[in-house]
Amino acid sequence: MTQAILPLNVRALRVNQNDAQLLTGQFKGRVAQFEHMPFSSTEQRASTGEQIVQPLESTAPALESLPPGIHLHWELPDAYKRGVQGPEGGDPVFPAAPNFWLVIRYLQIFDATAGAYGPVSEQAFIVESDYISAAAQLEPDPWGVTRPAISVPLPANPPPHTAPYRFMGRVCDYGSWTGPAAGAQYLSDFAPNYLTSIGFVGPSFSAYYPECKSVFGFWDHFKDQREIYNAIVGNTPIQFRASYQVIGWVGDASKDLFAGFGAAVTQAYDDYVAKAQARQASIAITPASQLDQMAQQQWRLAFNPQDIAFTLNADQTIATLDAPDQGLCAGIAQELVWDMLNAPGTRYFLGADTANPPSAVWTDDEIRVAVGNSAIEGLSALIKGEVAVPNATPAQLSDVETLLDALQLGLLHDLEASGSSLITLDETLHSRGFARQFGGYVWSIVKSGQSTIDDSAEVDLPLPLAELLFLLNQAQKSYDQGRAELDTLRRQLFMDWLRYVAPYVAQKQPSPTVTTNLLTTFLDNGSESELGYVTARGAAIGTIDYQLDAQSGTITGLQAPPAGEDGSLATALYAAWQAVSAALPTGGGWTLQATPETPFWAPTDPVLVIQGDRIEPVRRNGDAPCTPVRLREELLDTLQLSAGGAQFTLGAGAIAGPPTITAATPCQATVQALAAEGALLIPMLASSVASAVAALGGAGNPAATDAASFATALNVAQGGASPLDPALPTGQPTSLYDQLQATGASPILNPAQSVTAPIALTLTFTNAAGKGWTPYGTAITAQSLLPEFSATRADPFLPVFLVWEATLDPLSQSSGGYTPDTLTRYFALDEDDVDYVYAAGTSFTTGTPVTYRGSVVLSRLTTRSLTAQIDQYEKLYPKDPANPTLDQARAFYSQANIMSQGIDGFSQQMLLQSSLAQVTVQDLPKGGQDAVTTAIAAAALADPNDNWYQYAFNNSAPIPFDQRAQDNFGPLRAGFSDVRNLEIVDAFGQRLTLQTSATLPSGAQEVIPAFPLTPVAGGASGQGALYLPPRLIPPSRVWFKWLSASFDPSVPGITDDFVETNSHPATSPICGIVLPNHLDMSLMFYQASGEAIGSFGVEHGTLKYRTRPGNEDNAGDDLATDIGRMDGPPTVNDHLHNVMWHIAQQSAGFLADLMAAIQGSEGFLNPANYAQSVDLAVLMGQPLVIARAVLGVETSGGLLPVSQADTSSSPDFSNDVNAGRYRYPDRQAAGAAGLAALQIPLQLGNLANIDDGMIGYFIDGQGQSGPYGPFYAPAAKAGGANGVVPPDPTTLAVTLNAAPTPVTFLLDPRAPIHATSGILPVQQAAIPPDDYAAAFQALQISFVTRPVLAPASGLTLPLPSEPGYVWSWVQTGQKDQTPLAAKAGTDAARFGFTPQQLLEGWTQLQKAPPPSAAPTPTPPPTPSNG
Amino acid sequence: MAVRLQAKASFMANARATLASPTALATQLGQRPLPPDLRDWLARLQLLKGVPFNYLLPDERLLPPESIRFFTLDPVWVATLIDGAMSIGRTLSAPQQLPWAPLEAATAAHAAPLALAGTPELRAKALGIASAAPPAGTISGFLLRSSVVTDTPGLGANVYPQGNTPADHDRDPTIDIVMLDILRFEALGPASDVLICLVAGDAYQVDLHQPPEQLHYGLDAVAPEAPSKNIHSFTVANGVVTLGSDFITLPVANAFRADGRVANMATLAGLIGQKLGVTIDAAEMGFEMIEGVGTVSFIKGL
Repeated sequence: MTQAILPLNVRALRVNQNDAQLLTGQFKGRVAQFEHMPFSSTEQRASTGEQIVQPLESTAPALESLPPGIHLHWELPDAYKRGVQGPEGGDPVFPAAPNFWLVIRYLQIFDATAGAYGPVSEQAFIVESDYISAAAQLEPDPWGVTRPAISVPLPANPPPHTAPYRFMGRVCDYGSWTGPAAGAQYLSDFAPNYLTSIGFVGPSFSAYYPECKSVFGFWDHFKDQREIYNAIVGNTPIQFRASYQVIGWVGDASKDLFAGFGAAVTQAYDDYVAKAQARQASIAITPASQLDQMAQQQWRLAFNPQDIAFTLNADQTIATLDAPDQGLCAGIAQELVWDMLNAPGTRYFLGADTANPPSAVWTDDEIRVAVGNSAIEGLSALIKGEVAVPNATPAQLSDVETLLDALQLGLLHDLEASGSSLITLDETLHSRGFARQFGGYVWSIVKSGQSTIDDSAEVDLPLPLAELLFLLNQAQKSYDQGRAELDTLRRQLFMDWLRYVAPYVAQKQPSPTVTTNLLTTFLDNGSESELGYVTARGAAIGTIDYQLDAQSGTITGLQAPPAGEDGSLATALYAAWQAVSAALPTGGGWTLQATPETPFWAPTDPVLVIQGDRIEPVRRNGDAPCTPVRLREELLDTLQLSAGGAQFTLGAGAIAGPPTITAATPCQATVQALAAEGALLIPMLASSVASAVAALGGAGNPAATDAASFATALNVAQGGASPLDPALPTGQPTSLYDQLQATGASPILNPAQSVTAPIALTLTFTNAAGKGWTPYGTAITAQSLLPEFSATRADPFLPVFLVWEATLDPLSQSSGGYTPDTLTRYFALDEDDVDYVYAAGTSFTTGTPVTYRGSVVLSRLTTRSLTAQIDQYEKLYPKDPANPTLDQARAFYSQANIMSQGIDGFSQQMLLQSSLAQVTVQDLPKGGQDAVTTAIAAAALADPNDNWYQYAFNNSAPIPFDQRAQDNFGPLRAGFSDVRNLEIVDAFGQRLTLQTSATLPSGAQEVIPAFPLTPVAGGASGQGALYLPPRLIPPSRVWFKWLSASFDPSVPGITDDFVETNSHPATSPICGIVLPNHLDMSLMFYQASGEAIGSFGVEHGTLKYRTRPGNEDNAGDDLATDIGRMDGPPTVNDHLHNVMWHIAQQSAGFLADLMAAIQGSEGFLNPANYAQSVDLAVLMGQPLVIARAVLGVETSGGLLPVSQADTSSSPDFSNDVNAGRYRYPDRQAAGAAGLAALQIPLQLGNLANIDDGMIGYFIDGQGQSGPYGPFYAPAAKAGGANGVVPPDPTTLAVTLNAAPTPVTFLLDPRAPIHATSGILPVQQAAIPPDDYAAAFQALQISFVTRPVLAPASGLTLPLPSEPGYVWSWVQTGQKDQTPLAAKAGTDAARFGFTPQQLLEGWTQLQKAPPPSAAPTPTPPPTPSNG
Repeated sequence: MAVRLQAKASFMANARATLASPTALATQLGQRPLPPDLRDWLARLQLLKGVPFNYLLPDERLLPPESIRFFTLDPVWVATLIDGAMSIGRTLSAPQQLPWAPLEAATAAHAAPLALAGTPELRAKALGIASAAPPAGTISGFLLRSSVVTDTPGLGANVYPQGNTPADHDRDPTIDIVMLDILRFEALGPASDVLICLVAGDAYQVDLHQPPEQLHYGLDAVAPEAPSKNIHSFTVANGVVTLGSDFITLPVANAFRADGRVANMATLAGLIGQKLGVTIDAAEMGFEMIEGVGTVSFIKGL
């Protein structure tokens, strides 16, 4: 077994006495301040989450400021920051982060008289990250200094009046450290807690030094070095330099990232080998590459597979594999020079350049900001000006922006291809403005062993089984929606409790109009209260666990719900699953599988893309897609030198300096090897290296000759010296440090560095096995100057947060909220577009801007996709004329400092909610006196299977009072927005305010809106602002699903056509087939099975039904004979029957208009899968099908957000409490801003999209006498008077969570139908090819043929041969069909045909009967040659 | 925000505008050639290839055995045929309001001359000869139903327009003889006695002849006892040959060998020379002895 060494980025901030006194107090400090939680019985504040948070946007001074000394912060490798979250949500699970850190410090004091640094001293410390203080107070360290430490909310459920916090992390002297102290408490003693990258705070925990200073950071106060300590504290002259090597590990090896990794790799590889052998395929990968692959997939870590040792058994399975079983993090911050020899009284390390007295706040006042719905849009908007031709017109700029969008989405080249690429681009961009949320599961029946559903797995189920599957999916959906509902209910309960508990503790009234008593009753009064209601709903919904397939991880079944959940949705779901399982075809081969259902979509918050000189994107862990890691065997442990022909080899272990690693340290030998490697790499130790080399002796030993020059030469090779130290000889080859820091650099194998001055040397860093790799560049850091900050600035600025302020002039509401016609009244959705725009000159906002503030952890995902896309594009299309322009974009982009970030929390605040630290529901000051809190706290934990805390029910707080609640509760986000103050906070709490060079008269920053956010030109309002098109903030989805064409009522619970919840329906949704014949203006109808019924045509100005050719049984062309009487019962599919009777009752004008609409649609229809069964399609023209679907818009959980406001203008909360509306649905009626009644138009089909198959639709139930009203067809002529009309925006307007509207479509099944709502991503539904292909193949097509000459010897026609089909002739008025031979009727002269007849009738093409069934019709004998 | 992609809207508008204007469409189509397969196929239809025989000849009494019937192709009929062929898969009428009706008209107009121009190439390709010029104007032809078709493989036809026949040339040597290009000349089906011929232009005189390779030495009378040959008289003076005005009957029984079946060429030459009073060489021998192929001329009546 071995260890993996992960690169650790260690950065240091120097704080001198001046900085500490004046500047660091202005830094941003900790956000989480658990020690501020009130707990004493005299407290007037409630023990809720808001007490322990000081948001970054707060103007209050930091709780504690950085004291003088050197502050180290190490960024955890990304592998430790990847939480795994189940698709249903819940808390993500993070790997255990290293909780022990060895910090080795090398120190050299500058001797001003000698003009050189003195000897190196070494000191090692241990940071015990997860040490928990015994009591709620800070403890001094071994040097007697009380270090600041972060607080944590432990113990978890403290008794009332006891401190609910402890301090975490401590520093020990390594020399005397003997491992975790007996009797001391560590985080893991507070099960289930363990140390992770998010701690108790969230993603910013490990990335932000003030938040984790005692955990992933180290403050070096130098108390152990009196000379330095005194000089720092006394602010007297001193110069010294320090280097730090930090090595971390997870104390409990069983929780290590790599625990069990070797076994997992072996298992996976052996499975692979077994499968390959079963298939008799060759084995293409090695255990080493399997290991590398799995590490990349699981943690984005990249190994060097060639260095992973393994042996194989005779059967190719793994015999041994030297996989890492533990991970160590290691990094170096080197050559930190503290130069306080001069002017110690006025010298600052961190002061901003402009201010006197010095300020800690930097400013970049020439930034450019672009805003888009996504980073892609924002970036395109930002750089369009740099790419476009000089003095480009707005139209040209907009084109450039479009092309940049397309480039970033990978759609650029396809833009000029045939098809609907522009629309695809539009739709893709539009959907990028939404975030998907779990939408539940959907079950399907697949062949066993098939992990995914694909076309080949199409299953046509027996109808009863399909119906059972539908019932299962219906139960699943109810359960999923139920769980989402519970989330909302519990969150609301928590928010209401917050409204209660604070006034209760403070002994005040919750609100001028609500008394504490009333609110108490509202919250907890048995079943007649909110708690009662929420608990009852929880029981009615229940919980269920899924069975997972061990290998693929797919859901294949359900676990029985816990006992006592009878009658719950979970129980019903389980029963439905059992029913389907029992009904599966016996003999195996089929299995049930659940996959995610259509997701819900929530709009993303606007994304700012900011460019500025002082903005450095955060890439502390490097920009490699997978972080390169090393095995222990790959560490550098040897220095080979060649000088003047003499060769020397130095083992790193021989270098004096590194501490002796004690047995108390896990992986002792590896840690020792890391320390030894540090001695090779850290420049300060060069003189120790020189001594060790000199000790090797031998002729021509350069270190023996001139140790100082040797040390300098080594420093030149190493690189990474401080700019504050005297310069090294110049004109040398690129140093190792510089090579590793170059953009895109990878670790280097056995690097060799040749130096020419001060002496000529070649130094090779390697190891005994000759496979020595340098660490990844992020693991070595050094001081560098930041001239864009100031000429003397040598400390890093590492952006972590964006603190933002923005305003919104929101959408108007009437007293009851939004009016139902809000969307159509103010906005229009162009038929060629996917998003709403307002008419210039309309005023649709309140005119009262509301200010929102927030802070967000800067995305570590950089926007480097642009350069990657350009590279990729030019590689694929080297001759594209756009390439020079793209080069221009890349050149500009690669040297610009650009950062992008969504302003998280913007939309959430419009729901009058804000994020809250997750704190257990408890009332520490009042304790047991508070019955309400006690009851809610008990309810949250009552069901061990359904712990409310697991779903973060306590993570939001209401915004009841301030201006936001006064002026906007806006679940329908729209309006004009401004960007106000922006500030970046760095990893140490340093601040940088951002300002565009010009500002608007309103004081807002001058931002560049992306195209979709650009206000309408010429409009009176919003110019210069950002236009936010309407978006539903609650997660919603368009529910667009096919309905089965038929149903079997014998299955209990099935009384009507059922919803095909799968994208691959289990039964066909096709009710019938229609073949338009524009030649004789008729519509031929077929059953879904392909049998002909009859046709409608216009004869002598009237609509006329004609039965199918050759149907002697219906000589009178009576529709009822063919499909059943109008009032039933139908002899064909019900809906086909209805459609045909509907047409039969219409005028000739209806048919003419319908035919015109069909023609108008199909001309611009070119389905992507047109090529399927193309030969037959050519003969048929364009068969259409009648299929039904349901359409609706639903929200997650079926609930709407309710207003949390409690102001005099909108006292929603008070009203609810006073009216006793504790049931959420009741509150929704008044408190959801009228969202329930909001009409949401759905635009179906898309004429401009040639990959849309819709001709038109009937809305079921719109008719006066029959089921149907007008036929809505986008291609219908405007103002059609015959019942065929183009739809208008209100034709199909649905309301949220209403029963979905059934719609009967006429469509070309080869293309999907798009449902465009503007406020949600475009949703499409397609009929799987299998369904229509089967129907089309069975189609009995008659071609009207008239007149033809029939020879006396028998009819022959020049017909093509269609394999699998036979031709026949159907003669008007004759019952029998005459078989026709294909390829007969040639120009060969054969006589005996006179007299000829003129015939009228149909040539018919139908599927040839299978050979075993009926005899194939024999072609007529070939007439003999006369 | 305006409609994001103006280009999309204008694309659709442009597409509709272009489709609506036949002139614009014709400009778009330009000199674009047809795909070779399509061109050949349409060219075949131009020459009635594949048209069922009972459509070419509605009543067989129109073409009794041993008859020939002349006709002129009706361009409207052919255009209709092609339109029908091109309508496969198109179940559309052509109401004027449909955007692609002009497109179909334009493509049809574009395709027709290209297909017509391709017609001579079919025959050229089949026979491996140089292609004739594309036909312009009338296409005419004839149907011949005769045992000649079956019995005379290699039957040929020379077709002349009115005013440029050999007779016109004989009458007035300044008139050139013009032979019309043959577009199609083939029997309809294997072992068929019906032959169709289509020529580019209006046929006036049709000479049907045996295969030209059948030129041979021949006698005029082959009575067993008295075979004879009518020879031209001529004189040669100073290298100039002058034809006499009449034929001379020359008995040639003596020119045969003993078996009476094979002619002795030297003797025959001697006989001819003797009769004419000259010594003849091979060219003069050929001139006297060669017989042409059988030819029948049909001349269009008024």
